[in-house]
Amino acid sequence: MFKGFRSWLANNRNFIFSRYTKDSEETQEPEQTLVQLPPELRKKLVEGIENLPSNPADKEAIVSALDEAFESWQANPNNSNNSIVILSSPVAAVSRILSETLEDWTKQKQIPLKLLPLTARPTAADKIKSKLEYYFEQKESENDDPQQQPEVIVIPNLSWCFLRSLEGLEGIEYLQSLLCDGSCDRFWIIGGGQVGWEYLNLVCNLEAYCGKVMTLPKIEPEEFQEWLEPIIQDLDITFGKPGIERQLLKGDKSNQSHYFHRLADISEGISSVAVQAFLTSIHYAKIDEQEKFPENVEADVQSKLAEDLVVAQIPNLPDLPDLELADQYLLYSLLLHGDLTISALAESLGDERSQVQNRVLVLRHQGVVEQQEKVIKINPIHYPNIKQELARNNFVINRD
Amino acid sequence: MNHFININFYWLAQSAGDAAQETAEQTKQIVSKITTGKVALAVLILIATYLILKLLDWLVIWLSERIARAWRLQVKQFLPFLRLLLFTFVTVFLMNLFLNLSKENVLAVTGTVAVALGFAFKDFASSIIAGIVGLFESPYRVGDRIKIGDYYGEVISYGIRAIKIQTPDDNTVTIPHNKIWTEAISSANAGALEAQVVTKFYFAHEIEIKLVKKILYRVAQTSKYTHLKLPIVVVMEEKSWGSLFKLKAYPLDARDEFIYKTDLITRAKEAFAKQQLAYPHLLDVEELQIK
Repeated sequence: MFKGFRSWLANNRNFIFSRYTKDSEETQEPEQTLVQLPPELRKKLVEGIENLPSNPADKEAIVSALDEAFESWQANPNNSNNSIVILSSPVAAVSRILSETLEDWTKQKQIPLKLLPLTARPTAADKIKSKLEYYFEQKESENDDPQQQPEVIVIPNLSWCFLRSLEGLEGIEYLQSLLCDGSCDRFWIIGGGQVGWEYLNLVCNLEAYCGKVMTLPKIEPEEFQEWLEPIIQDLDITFGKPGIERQLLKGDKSNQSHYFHRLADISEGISSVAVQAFLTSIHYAKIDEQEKFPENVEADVQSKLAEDLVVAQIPNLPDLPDLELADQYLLYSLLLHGDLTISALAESLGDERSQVQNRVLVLRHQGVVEQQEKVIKINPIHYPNIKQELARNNFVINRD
Repeated sequence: MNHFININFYWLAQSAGDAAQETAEQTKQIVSKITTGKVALAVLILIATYLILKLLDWLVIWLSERIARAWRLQVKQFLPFLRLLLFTFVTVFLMNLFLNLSKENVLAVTGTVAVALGFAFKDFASSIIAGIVGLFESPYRVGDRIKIGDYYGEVISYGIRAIKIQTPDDNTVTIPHNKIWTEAISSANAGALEAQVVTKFYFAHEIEIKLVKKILYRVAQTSKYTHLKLPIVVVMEEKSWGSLFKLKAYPLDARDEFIYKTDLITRAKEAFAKQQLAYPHLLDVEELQIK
């Protein structure tokens, strides 16, 4: 009911506020007709976004936490400080952020770095433990040298080391034994999602086995602006005027500043959510040639306005469709694991594959989840609403 | 002395006779003021009340099923109070309409009504009073999973006279409130969204206890229905026929009780089969049942 009222208010906001926002003295720009981006322009925009590096603010936060934990371990190597866990939101590619960050960091520290060669969760849950054993025992046998050099082990995504099923937690139990009884000359860097981490803490008390735990901080509006600047420059994106209510509430700022503050607000400072919201806010503005410019508008401004513009309108999150109880369980499972194949999702839910497939198809049509090859993920733009919806329905999302 | 007592009796008898005559006179006056218009108005009010009640029921239930799960029971529990408020308002209005609620009229009518209710509607009145007491004492509330007598289910309606519970077989059972005077009422969640589910597992004596316990904990920890912030406990008892394990855990929503139990049993049995854990011998159980 409230959702309906909210969307009605949002849709009619311009009409409701329009009579208060028209200033007869102000030069009125010609009407712009906003349309979807032409395919080639959209392709260029998507490519630009895909080629964006991880947000520098995330990297800086990781490096700073890594330095602190690593120095503490180097000064006094023991089992209580030999690891750092870096947590991101479940819709962020933590493994990518981590690998990009560590590339420079290891060069700087000049220490051998061993990356766990997992790029996805093993297909069979009962094989997770054996894969981890194979990798780590192989490493042990390679390092038989009694004067073992310190080394850094990186688990790029802890979510790939477990599945919420009877046998899917054996990998975590094995990692716990390594963290607790393993060599003090190993420093562990572990990436993971916040929801999965909360689950593992409740079920296996994993945090007790790890040293420092850091959660990626929220990205600030200015940091988003700086990060997206190359795309803005490349496509010559202009920023739409915010509504009068926003101007009144947030003060007199430039359109761009209003835009990025709003982007940071709705995305909760998460890069992957912000990128999707940015993408959906970009439109193509066609100037109606029949419209005449007022006399006081200068010629060069007129020629600029007469061109078609790529406009970024104030970003908004789409409404979450009504979710059935079965959908809530499914989405929680996706938040828990970050990404899953249909078989793994069915196993984690304890349901039949066909049953899960049906629900996934419905959610895909609604845009709530997305599928890349065989892997299903939550569409990041829905993440803030899904998180809120699940938290309100008793699901364990965070520690509170 | 005797003469004095006789005078007193005579005087008391005469006073009582006068009072009865006066009450009868007042009742006669009140009845004579009932007109067709008043009766028609009362009928209209009763119809409107019925419609408002239905609307209230629908609105509260509709709202409670759409808001966050955590608030569902709080909203539903508001319904009996709304109904009581409406009943009180309508009763006072109708009494005022017909009885012109002055002090004397109230006294005159309540005596008559009390006698009538006392004999003819004893159980009905008892249920209504128990319903009002129950609103404040809260032995059960809408949304609770309760057991009264042989009936177990979710309270789906709290009427002025009775509650309705929905059993696991989807039957609706109406139970008058006056049961709270005499029957023990067991509530699994007492106003909370979560209710503990106890699932029993039976094994032969020779099984490996640690393995069974580990499987049972894992089964609960990996069920999609489990509320992980609430405790999961495995307890066991030794019986003559074997070992009885009880897995105690909470589903996210008390409504999932039976589907949760099914999920736990299904996945646990798969694990037991993999480990080839022995169940109690059927013969022993049959012997126990005969005893």
